[in-house]
Amino acid sequence: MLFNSLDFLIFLPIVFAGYWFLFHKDLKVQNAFVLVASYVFYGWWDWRFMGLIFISSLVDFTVGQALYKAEGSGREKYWLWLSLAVNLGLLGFFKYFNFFTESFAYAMNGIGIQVDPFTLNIILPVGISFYTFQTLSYTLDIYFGKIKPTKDPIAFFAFVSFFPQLVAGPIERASNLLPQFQKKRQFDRQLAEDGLKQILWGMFKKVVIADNCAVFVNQYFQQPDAYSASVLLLGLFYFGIQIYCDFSGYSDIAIGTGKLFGFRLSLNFNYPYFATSLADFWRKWHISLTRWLTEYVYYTIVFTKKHLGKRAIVMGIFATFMLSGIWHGAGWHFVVFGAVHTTGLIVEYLTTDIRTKMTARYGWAFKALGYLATLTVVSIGFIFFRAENMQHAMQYFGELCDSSIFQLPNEGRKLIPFCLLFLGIEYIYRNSTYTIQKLKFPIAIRWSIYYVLVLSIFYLQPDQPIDFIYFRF
Amino acid sequence: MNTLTQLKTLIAGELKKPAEELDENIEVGNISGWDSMTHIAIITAIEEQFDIKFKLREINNITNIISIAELVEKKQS
Repeated sequence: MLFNSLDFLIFLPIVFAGYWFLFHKDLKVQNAFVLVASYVFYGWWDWRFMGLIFISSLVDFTVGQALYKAEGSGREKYWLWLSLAVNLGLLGFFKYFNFFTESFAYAMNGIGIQVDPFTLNIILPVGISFYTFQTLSYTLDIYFGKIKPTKDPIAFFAFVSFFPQLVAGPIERASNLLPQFQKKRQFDRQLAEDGLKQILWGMFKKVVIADNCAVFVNQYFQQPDAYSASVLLLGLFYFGIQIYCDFSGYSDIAIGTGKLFGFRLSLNFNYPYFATSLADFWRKWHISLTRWLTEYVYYTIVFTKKHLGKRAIVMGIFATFMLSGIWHGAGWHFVVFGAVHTTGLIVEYLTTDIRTKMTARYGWAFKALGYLATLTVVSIGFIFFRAENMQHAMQYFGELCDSSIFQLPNEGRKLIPFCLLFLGIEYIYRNSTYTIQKLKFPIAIRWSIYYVLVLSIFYLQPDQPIDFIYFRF
Repeated sequence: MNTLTQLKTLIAGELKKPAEELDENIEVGNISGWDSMTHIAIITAIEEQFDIKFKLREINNITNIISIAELVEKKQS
């Protein structure tokens, strides 16, 4: 079920009413209601998907108990391997099977051995990369002694499938979300109002800004050779705005919906376009994924190899961000997307000392240079992220490398003022969790702003609703 | 000098800031300058100064500077 659909507009008040007025007396019954609602929400796409999330939840619920019982016996790691094998096995099969078989056949043909690629007609289950990582975090946290396993299957299954963040995050850690299912929630009017405002802002970003930018982005990416380099550069700028508003908009709707039900989900975006370094960018962009990878992949590599000194950190960065690239999708262009960021981060790490000295010497001017460098690497990465495949990415990149890039774009300029205005407002309110959280205006003006946002959601959206980009991951 | 004070001096040196600015109660991730790269440098420096070795599981359970001090004292006893 899409957040920006009539179905969800009907679904949400029904679940809200049932949750607070019908099933609120008994915590287990209330959790069971959330669980059923979440499976309905997920099954709305395709009922067969429910089987996968059920298997993933069941495995980790069982493994969690067994792993805890095996503590000190040396058998813990076998249980951990079982969870990793099942979860990553499902993810690998549904998401990467065709990519690996096609790449294998291509490599074989490259060395002269004729192999036909064996591909299957596999449907990618929505949100599989998100809930797989979420359920894995539970087992990993038990393994690392951070949490104890729960004996309450309903709370656990509801934690894995919680509908606001099920299909596109934030990827919640068991240590944050699971305890919230285990204690009685009280309706908090202030929190709910805050949630509604966050939903409104998220919906505005998605439907008005992201979807309108998408119209131009789709046009330019569909036929890059038909446009001048400056128009393509503008298209890349629009894509940067689109992907940010699309994904952070989804996160705002998810976090806001969580607040309506008395849950506090993790922050997922923190104004990433004002980052002054690539490392800073990743601390602000898709924070829940970066934290997951940092804690389970990066630290594991760096601490087990720490005798290697700086090389251990380079290895950690390499593994983490290449994995981040491939996590986003099964394709070589996503591998390159990961490689662009990996290279940038390694260069940044190896030049830490000199950059610190230069910042002390040249102050804001050097910071501005860092900002530009970050923006350039992020933009190059986005070409590979948005493209359909490697050939497409290289075509767009090639068309960009033309002297016409220095001319004024001869079309598509009408969104520029709106995008700049949006970035300006984001900059002013960058200390709030989301932009319209703490508007310091008289009440009449604040409400006028809310009305304008609501009206623009209805009247300024493109004719056809556009899926959230991150649903395909 | 107790373990906590020694730790704060050491960490302050790694983060290149005065020890008084470090709050031992807040999460290490929220201390300015303490990121995934300085984290490893700090852990390695602690291991060297106190002549101890942390396990991955112990490092994963670090929350704030107090939790590090407790861990160091536990490993030394």
